[in-house]
Amino acid sequence: MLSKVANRVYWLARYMERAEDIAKLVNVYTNLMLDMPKGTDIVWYNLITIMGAEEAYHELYQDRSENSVMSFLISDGKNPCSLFGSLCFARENARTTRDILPTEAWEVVNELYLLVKKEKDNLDTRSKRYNFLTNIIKGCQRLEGMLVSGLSRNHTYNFLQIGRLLERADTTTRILDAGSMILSAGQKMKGTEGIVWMNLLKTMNAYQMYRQSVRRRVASSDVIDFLLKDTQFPRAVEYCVDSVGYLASKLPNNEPVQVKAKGVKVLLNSFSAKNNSMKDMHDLMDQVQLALYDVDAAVNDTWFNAAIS
Amino acid sequence: MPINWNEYDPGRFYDELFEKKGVPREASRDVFNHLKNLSSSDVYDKKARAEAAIVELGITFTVYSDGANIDRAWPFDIIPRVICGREWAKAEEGLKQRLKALNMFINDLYNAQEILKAGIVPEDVITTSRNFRRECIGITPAHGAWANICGSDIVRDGDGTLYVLEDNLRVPSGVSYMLENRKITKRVFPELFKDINIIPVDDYPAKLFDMLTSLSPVTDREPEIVVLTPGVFNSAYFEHAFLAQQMGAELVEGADLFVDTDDKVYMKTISGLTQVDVIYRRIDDDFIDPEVFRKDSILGVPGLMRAWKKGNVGIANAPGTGVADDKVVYAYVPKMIEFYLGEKPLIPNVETYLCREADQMDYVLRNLEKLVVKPANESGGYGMLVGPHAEQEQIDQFRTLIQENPRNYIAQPTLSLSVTPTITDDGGLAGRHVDLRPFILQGESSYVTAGGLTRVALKPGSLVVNSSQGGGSKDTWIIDPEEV
Repeated sequence: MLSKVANRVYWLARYMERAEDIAKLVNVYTNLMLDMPKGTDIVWYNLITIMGAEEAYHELYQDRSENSVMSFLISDGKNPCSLFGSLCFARENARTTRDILPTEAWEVVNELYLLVKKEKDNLDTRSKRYNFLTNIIKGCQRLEGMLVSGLSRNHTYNFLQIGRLLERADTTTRILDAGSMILSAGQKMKGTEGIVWMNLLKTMNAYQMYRQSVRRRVASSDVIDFLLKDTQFPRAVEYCVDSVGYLASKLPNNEPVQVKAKGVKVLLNSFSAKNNSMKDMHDLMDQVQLALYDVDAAVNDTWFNAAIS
Repeated sequence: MPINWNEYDPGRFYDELFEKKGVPREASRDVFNHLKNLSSSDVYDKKARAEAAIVELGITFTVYSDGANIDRAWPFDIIPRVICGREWAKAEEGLKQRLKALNMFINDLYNAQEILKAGIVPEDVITTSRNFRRECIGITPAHGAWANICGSDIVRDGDGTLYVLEDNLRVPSGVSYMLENRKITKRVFPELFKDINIIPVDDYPAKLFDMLTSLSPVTDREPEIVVLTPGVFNSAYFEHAFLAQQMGAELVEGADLFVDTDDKVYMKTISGLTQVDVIYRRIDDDFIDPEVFRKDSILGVPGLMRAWKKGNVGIANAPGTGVADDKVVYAYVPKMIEFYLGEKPLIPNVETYLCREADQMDYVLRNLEKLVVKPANESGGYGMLVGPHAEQEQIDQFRTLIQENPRNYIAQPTLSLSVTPTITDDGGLAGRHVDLRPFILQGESSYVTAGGLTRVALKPGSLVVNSSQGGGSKDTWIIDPEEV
């Protein structure tokens, strides 16, 4: 397989996952805002902090209003990480790999892109936004279903899945960060722990799976351990890196990627939510995010920029 | 307007399907008998099905407009153009003959230059050609074939004679549309394919693959063949991807290839570097190697010429081939055929006036309003003057252009191109002008497609068939009347 083609499908999957994650995050966050007691400091701007996009945001916006944050995350073409930006890149990658993907894959990506392009500047009410984002989520899920059920388990599949899983693991750490940030916002948040985590679990379609797996009252430490270290839930960080390791084992020269993926696992296993504070968790998330970047860098060095003497 | 085959009248033009109103030609009789029994709504239904298939198969072409690229659905007319098998057999021989002579000519130019020494082709025509590449002097590629893939444009004049209008020897495109057109008509007229013996075209990718294999410098293993594309923004990208897919070859861009210090070409894969043996390049000479040609090219592969000259990689078409893709050189092809092969040309050229010759330029300048004037080195129908359809202002502009640079212009009489029945915008049936682009391969052996891509000028009276300028296409059926 050509390095360039592998690189493109890898990023196609990452960008599609990113678009879906942004849509889910915004929807759930909007919901959460409605549930919080009046006067709490939960602000839209938290979303920017969660994404680690403060710098890019301030280059484009002065204020921290709902409108500005939403426009930055959803529709701003100048923010390459916005939902629209992600779909533009995904579309470019899908367009140039049409020949190796199931035919409908390109059509779904293209339809989504056209939908966003048409609607993005017309999202002035929360209900319009909600419907719009729900359609995006459905489209992304359609693509994933199509690929999982229609694509041979070849290298194309391996690279798509590795890309998707790394992006997903990254998002999970950011959502955990969001929880810790909200809950450490002060006294007023007392008693809201359950609601906050429930909503965040819903972001990842994780609520039911969590309930089935942990049969106790929703508590921070359980949720954190579940989302970090569950080996069965497909959005748990550990599950994602395990799968990356497994998929990598089917590719040539995979040693460096395996090593980095194991590095993430070691980090996760060094942590237990019960014995650590929210502050510790925030630090851990930073480390996990960096370790995931290392996996991405190893993927790049091993397969995309290989062996130029 | 309803479709009424009995009312269809080709008028004063030569019609591909009809001898005259109501009388089909021998080869198209069965097609006609079938079509005339279809109601208008049957035909519209088939047309709609063809349009749906085009969207479904994702057959597009790209147009540049205001700096943006737009993918448009491929314009297609469902009524096939029919050519008699006996006539085509002759045309095939003529096309092979022509490409053979052209390849001998190119090889001669880069080696002994006997045709120049014999004074058959004037030396300055070659020395002033910007497509004559000094870097290629002394080289003889595999089988002496430089132009491995040629797309010649054939037209039929009012008296029914087929002429070669031009030879596209650089990176001719359109073959994927020929194949896709056939896919569509098979869906739309399955019953016709059952009853009539229509020569299949689907073997082209396999023939192309065999030809490319015959260019490989290695014989001890299966060659690694790649299609080199300028990228997704190129107007023919659809075709590049299509051919790569059909041949099971990798579709690569310049940045995917790499020439090492051993002067061999490698591609970057997820397992490291893999040696490439044959490159079907769809990039112009100017851009293929920034070490040798345009330094600012980011589409090419530095060192590619080194690797090719050392014989480490086969390139189709060979660098330097473009020297014969020049409308001035075109005028000498009949003489080349006699010089190299000692044969008479089987398909004639269109009469051509070379503005570089003073007396011919004089004639051209006096008759601009009757002639078609073409620059020597353009393609896609750009930069042309169609005298009878031009404004005075445009004619004056060409008068100046020709006088400033006579070498760069040729002129031909305005042909009375043949027509063929086509569904019009208002749902009727009318004759529209067509040409034909067959594809000829030459490596170890020669091959000609059964028919080719028929392009049709959809606007009434128009002679311009290019898809970028309002042209469409049709499936081309070679039918042998004796076998029916």
